[in-house]
Amino acid sequence: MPIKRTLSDRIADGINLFLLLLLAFVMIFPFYYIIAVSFSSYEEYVNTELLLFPKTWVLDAYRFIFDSKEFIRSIGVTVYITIVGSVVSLLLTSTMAFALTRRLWGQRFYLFLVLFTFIFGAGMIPTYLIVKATGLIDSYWSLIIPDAIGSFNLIVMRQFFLSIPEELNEAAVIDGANDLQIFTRIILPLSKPALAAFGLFYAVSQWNTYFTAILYLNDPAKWTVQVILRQIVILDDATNTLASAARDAAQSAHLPPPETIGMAAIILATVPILIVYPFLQKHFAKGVMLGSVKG
Amino acid sequence: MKTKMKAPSTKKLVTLIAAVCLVTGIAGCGGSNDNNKESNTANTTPTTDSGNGNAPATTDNQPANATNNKTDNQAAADPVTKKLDISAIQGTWASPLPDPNGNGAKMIDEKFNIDLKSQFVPYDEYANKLPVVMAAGDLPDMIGMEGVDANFVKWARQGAFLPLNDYIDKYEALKSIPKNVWDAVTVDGKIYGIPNYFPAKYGKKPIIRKDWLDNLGLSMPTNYDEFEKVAIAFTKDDPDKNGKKDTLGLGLAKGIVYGSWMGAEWDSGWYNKNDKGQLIPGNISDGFKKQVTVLHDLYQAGAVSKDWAVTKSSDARKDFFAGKTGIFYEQPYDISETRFKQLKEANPAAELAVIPPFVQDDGQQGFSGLPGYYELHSLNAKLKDDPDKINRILEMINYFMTFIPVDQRNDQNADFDWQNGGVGKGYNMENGVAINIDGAASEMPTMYLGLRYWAPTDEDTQPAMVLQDPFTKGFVQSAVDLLKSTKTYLDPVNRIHSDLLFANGSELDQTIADHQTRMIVGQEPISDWDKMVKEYLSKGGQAIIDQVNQQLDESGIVGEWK
Repeated sequence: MPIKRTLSDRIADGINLFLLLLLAFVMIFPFYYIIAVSFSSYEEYVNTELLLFPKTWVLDAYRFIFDSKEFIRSIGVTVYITIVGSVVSLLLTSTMAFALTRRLWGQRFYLFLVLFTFIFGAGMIPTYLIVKATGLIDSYWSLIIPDAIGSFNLIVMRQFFLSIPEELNEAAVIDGANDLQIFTRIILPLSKPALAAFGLFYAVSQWNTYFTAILYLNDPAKWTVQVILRQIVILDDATNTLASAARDAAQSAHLPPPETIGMAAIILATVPILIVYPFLQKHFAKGVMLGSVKG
Repeated sequence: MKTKMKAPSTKKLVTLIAAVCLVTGIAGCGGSNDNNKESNTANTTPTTDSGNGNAPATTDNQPANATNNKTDNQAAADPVTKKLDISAIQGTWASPLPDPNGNGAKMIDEKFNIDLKSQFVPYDEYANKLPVVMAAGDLPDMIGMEGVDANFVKWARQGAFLPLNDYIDKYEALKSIPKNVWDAVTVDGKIYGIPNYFPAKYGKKPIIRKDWLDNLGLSMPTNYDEFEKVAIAFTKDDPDKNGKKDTLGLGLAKGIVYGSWMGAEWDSGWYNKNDKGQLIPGNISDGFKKQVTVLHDLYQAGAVSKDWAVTKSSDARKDFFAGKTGIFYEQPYDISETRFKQLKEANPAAELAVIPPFVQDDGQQGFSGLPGYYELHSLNAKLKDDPDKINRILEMINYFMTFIPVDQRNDQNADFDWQNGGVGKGYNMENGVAINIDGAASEMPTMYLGLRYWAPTDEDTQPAMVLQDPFTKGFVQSAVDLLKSTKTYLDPVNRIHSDLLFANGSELDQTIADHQTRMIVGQEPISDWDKMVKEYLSKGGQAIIDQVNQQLDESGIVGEWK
């Protein structure tokens, strides 16, 4: 039986709806604009003030990108480190988080170490030295291992594990499960929402790998899509000091590809990771316990 | 409205996710934080030639007369016996980058009997990467830098680079580098880098739509009053005769790029002197005040875009080449023909000309020049006990810097042909001009070191010669002819290294630019100019001026007209 709704309820709903639609529009519009430009011809783009509905839809920009080996290869690199990186990150984060929920000798000390990195970072150069000393330079692992565990994610995941009733573990122990079995058969299945959430965070951050790729990978063939994208959509912005005059002049020689190509590159570099969201959506909405413990 | 009680744990989860979202600022979309509209990717053209960029075609057109027999010309050097490993790192604007194992690299290896490991980093991030590589002790044998900055001077003083004074005279091309350029890479009397040629004369120059002048019956402006009149007429009198009010007088972008300087006196270089006789930076000089006043007038009259203060320079340039702006800045050297072609296609009547510099108050007449170099290569100090390697590297640099006259840059010249990967592989001959094949960067040895020919004089570069498009060629030739008879001011500050200027200069310049931007749009009266200068001087500007002038006096360097 539906609840009766008063007029004020409806007005409030209407206002909410309007504001949310406005918010959605503000976020979607730039994206739509990029899509529109990427499918338009360059002539039309230059001669239109704000191009929203291309008169002729052309695929030239996309064709150009698919013909260029760099971009496709870099997408491959990014997909690879995103998948491998997310799996490695989730594995390491969840196992460590689980370990820190057990009665572990020195648990507080380990937690302190995690929290310490929360506040203090080593800085770029010491990190580089470690990556170098461990022989990861020019290897994809340099993009995966150094940031494999996000300390914040770890803390939150640990809290999540702690919120799972201890009675479940006790029941499992009575049935003869060891720690590993508890972890794989009880904790992980019940933590799907958390795993999905953190998996998504890790995936997005791996997808956006840019600076570390430039820092640790010397071979341009290994660069991620964001680096290549950056080269296609360079900030071409002159500054009026004499120090940069030669740069302005030198840069002028380089021909920018039509903006349409830049926009197409943005689309191609963004859409794949956007597609991941809907697949994880269902895990966010699901309940966690689903009647596992009868209070 | 909730109609069903949800499990509390879900609530907890939602809160948790919300919290994490808040903290990590979940990235909604990867990489779209850089989606500025103007993209600029380098076309792989060596900077020794003009960017002959026709929008990157991907077809590999093989010429019929592809000669595949490689002329094996002797490097002008002693027979090299021992194979040496040589590593290099440098920044680049080019894209895509040459493949480290490409054919061009192999040709270099063979010719100089080395194993070259050349690494390119996009300039955007080079400033971050180089210090890290430096700190990690991973410095290669050759280090490229974009210019002389605080880091270069610091590292040179810390002994990271090899002093080159004793080697220069052995190499013809290096010997031809003029002293004012050597000064720039000299720290405490030692030369720490080999500058890469870039003509001082052919920087950005004010260019005007001559056809618009003719349409309106106006003549080329010779002073600022006429300049203002022309720019306003370009806005109000329909100079393109299309019946619409859709034009602007002057293209201006944020940070006052490029402004309206019509000679060294009004530019941002160190030309003017204060009442103590000290040289001062342009942006606080009375000459610059004149420029700001002009821009203010034009803004009031609507002759510059209303939102120029937030416009990217590339967008302002786009407007000019779309035929919407009457005056903008472009250089006659190293340009992409494509933009000019687009302008001419859309506006068949378009004619461009450089506005001759105005006569200054001191009677001089001429534009500020560039430093005369762009980018440099240093050698790693660790090489000091390995003269073989030093000489091999310098020989290579010398070879790639040895000037080949423009009219000999064709498949008949063995060196040129080799440097560009061979005709049909790295370039094609069209109408007697070598045109790079798109996407063939990895075939061209010259792409692997980022070196440019050192021209004896700026005129020797003959920038119009290498162009194909008649419209672009015509403009460049007229600009070169005009500049041949005008003087260029060489800013002495390019030749010294003031720590204070490196440390605080750009921040102070930013403050000044902010004030001047407000003055131009009328949010701050121009009568506050002196207040602004005082602020500059008190915030460390005076110390910079003192230091710069002291260094100039000590070294006997003065600004000169060339």
